[in-house]
Amino acid sequence: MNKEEKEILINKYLLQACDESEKQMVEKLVQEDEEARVIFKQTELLLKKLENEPTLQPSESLRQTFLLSLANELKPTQATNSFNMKVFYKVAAAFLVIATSVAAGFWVNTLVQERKEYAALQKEMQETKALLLSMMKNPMSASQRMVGVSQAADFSSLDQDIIKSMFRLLNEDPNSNVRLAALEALARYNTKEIKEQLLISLEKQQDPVVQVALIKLLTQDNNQAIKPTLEELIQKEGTEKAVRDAAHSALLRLS
Amino acid sequence: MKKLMMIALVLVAATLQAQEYKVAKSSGRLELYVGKVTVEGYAGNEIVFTSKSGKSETDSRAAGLRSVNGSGLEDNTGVGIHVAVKDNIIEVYQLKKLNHPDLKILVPKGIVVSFKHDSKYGGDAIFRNMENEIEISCQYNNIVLENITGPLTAKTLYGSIDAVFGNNVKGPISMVSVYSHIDITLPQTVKANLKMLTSYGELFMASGFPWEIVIKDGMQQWGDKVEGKLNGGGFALDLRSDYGKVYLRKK
Amino acid sequence: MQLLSKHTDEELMVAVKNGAIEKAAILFDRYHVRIFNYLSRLALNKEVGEDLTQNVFLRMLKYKHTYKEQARFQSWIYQMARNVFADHYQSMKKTMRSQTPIESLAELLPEHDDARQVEMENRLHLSLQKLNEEQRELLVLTRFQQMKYEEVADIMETTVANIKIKVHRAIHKLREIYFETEAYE
Repeated sequence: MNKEEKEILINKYLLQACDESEKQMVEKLVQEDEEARVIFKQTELLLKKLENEPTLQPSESLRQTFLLSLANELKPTQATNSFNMKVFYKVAAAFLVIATSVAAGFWVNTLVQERKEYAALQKEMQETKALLLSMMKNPMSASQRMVGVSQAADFSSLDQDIIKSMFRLLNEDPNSNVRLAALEALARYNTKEIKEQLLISLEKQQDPVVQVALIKLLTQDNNQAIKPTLEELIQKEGTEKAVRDAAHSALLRLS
Repeated sequence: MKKLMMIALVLVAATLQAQEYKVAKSSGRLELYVGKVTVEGYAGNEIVFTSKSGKSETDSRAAGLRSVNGSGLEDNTGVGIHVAVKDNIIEVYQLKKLNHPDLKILVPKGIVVSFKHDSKYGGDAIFRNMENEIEISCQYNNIVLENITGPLTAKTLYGSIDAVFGNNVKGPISMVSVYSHIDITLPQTVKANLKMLTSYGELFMASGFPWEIVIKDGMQQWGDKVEGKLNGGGFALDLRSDYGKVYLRKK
Repeated sequence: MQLLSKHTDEELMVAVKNGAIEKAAILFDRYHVRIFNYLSRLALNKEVGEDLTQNVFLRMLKYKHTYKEQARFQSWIYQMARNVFADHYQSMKKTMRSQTPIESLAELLPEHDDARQVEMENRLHLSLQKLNEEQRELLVLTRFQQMKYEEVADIMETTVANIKIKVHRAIHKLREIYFETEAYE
């Protein structure tokens, strides 16, 4: 075995890539061969040194600078003609600042200037929220309510006022498409409370299209709790055929 | 023979004087509670109702009497419908539950048009050459949309939806049928966030549509669901048929 | 101090790609220390490392559309970091051909009371500096950042076998340089 072969084997050993027979070979080699012993000792020391190298910590300004440039990225930079995009960017920017301030509150709060910006953005978020809520209430236009729902769904965090409005649309809106959009948005949250409220909504839901969609949504994670509601729907007089069909096939899937 | 029939039909149609009724409104909301209708957009500023079926023959016995029916509504238009104007909302009712007039309506651009009909007695709801916002909600009617722009919400439980869009499509667009097909044709350049969904049907899409698939989030769906962006994304475009097929074509 | 999310790197990057740009903050929090270490070690300078790290994440935003949904995010961001470093290295070679970065090495050193310890680590850094870029990079990734060979191969777009050989050669070279230096003292 020449020097290079020895070294390859020793490196392999120290990098824990040897099988049993190779291990024994290296151990024997180190005991008997002076050259191998030197290589082993040196490499072992080096690897330990490399592994002990501390993790360098960047200055806090690295994070701060990036988050600021990200916030700039999110601000509406040009006057877009699309109202929807503006709303989206406002919401996104506001959300970002809220989220980062919760996590990295110290730098937001310590700097007065940033606190002002934070307050301004928070105000903007409140205004945006109010705007979304009023869009979701517009009685003259179903498509405005739809836009309101899908923009509000991008609000990301679980805002109780928005969730309440969505449930109101789901249960009471005269337009099925709006109800479905609200359902779609609520399904995205996927929490236990929301699922429970969706089950309650199925019990009082009057719109057959939404009933069908709710049955589909609530049965796909094999949720047995829905069974009595489905049976009731099948029994109930005046249940639309489509709903009865959906309830029947859902029960079959669940059993 | 066929030709003769055609000529005869044309002659009959020409002799039947079409009845007309107008409402001077170019904004607001037109709510149609009738079983069958053809709505067309036009560049005027009145809503024009015409009935192709015409008024039933004048009954000399009924002279001096008022027509009454179970719905309690009277024909206040001369074209076999009842129209009620409340501020910005124009409501249109048919007089009888089972009989619907063969109604054609011309609407100015600025009016939101809503069609709502839950009974199984009805025909196709046809909307043509419209830049208006349209809301359709029915149980049994088939919906036909030709050269419209949206925004649009359309729902039919048992009927189908066929839609060919014009060039400047505006969102959101949402179409739902439970039992029948949805067939939509869009310009290739449309920018939209597409969602196509079916439980027991199939989804079809024209090849060469510039789109990318987006990973879905939240509760998992069974059945088939496609989410993607057309031309980088834009307005919401939701197409859903639980038992029917969904077709997306390009112009 | 970092933003938390239950989503994987890949899910977050797809979201960023699709316009949820604010999610980039979470990815930044997950990766910036590692990328900073990688670049500082390669550049042998913390300040340069910070600037380059900033560039990497700005590029991530700028080129978000190039992210392929199936790709491992770690590989994608490290490849971006490699490119940022390569650009920096090229421009540095052009403008500061004569200047060696040895002075700035001291910055890389942690504060130690033990003078001998400092001296030893200094030698390690000097030895590392004498390796070629690729060898240094391999040691940084495999030894400092303890990445698996598969991950490194993915980043460097080569085979695992190839990485194994190269890591061996880098360790061999480093050992020679390090103990040679000692021998000549």
